[in-house]
Amino acid sequence: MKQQNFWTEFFLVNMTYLVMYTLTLGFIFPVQQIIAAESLAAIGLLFLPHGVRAVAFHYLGARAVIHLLPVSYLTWFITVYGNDLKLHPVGPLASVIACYFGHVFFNMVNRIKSNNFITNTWINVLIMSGIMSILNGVALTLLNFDGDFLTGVFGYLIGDISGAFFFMVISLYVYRSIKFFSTNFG
Amino acid sequence: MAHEALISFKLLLQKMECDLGLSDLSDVETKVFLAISDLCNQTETAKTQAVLQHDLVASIGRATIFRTIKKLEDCKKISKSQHRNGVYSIANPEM
Repeated sequence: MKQQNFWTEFFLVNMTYLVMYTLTLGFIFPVQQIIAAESLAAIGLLFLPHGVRAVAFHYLGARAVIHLLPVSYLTWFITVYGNDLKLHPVGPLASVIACYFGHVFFNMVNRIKSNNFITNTWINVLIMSGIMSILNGVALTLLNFDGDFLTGVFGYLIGDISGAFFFMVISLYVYRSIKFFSTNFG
Repeated sequence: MAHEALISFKLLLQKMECDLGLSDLSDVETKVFLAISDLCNQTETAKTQAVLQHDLVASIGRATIFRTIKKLEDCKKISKSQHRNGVYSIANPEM
C-alpha cells in the first residue's frame, strides 16, 4: 500500500510538473522571448513548475526531492538538447535542493512562532514558494546567468513567485471545472 | 498519504476560491441559475413553471427552487419582470 502511494505521488508530481513545464516552454517562454530583453533568455519570468515544487514540498516534505528530481532532469534534457539553451547540468539538482532548504527554513520559522502562520492556505504556500525562490534564484544565477547577479536573482524571484501564483490559479480553475461538470453534467 | 495530500490540496483550493470571492453560488443556486439562463437563451425570459420543469433542476424540490429563485433575485443575479408575474430574466447577461 505504501509503495502504491509512493508511485501515485510520483506520477502526480511528475505529470503535473511536465504539463506545467510544457506550457511554460511551449507558450510562455516564446511570448517572453518576443517581449523581454534577450539578456533574460535563461530566466523564465512566469515559471509555472515552481508552483508544482512549492505544493509538492508543502504536502510531501522531503519526499518531494525524490519525486521532483527525475522530471527536473528530464525537462533540463529537453531544454538543453531540444531548445538549444545552455543550462548547467547541476542546475536541476541545485534547484530541488534549494527548494528543499526553503521548505525546511519556512517550517523552522513557522515552528518557532508561537502562533503559526496561516496553515494550509494558498498564501502559506506562496510565502514558502517565495523563500524557496530566493535560494533557487541564487543557485541558478550562479550556475546559469552571465549578467548582473542581483538582476538574475530578482528575475528568478519574479518568475518563480508569479509562476507559483498562476499555477495555483490554474489548479483552482481546473478544480472549479471538475466541480462544475460533475455537479451539472455528471 | 497521496490521498491525504490531495484532500488537503482540495481544501486549500476551496479556501482560495472563497478568498478570491469565486464561490458565491452554491450547487443548487448554480443549477437554478443555469436553468434560468438556458430558458432566457431560448425565449428571452424564464417562466417559473418552465424553470420547475427544466432538466437541470429535476432533482431539486419545488420549495427549494422557489427559495433559490428568491435568493438569486435578492443577489441581483436575476431580475423579475415588471409587467408579468413569475417571469424572470438574467440581471446582467454579460456575466
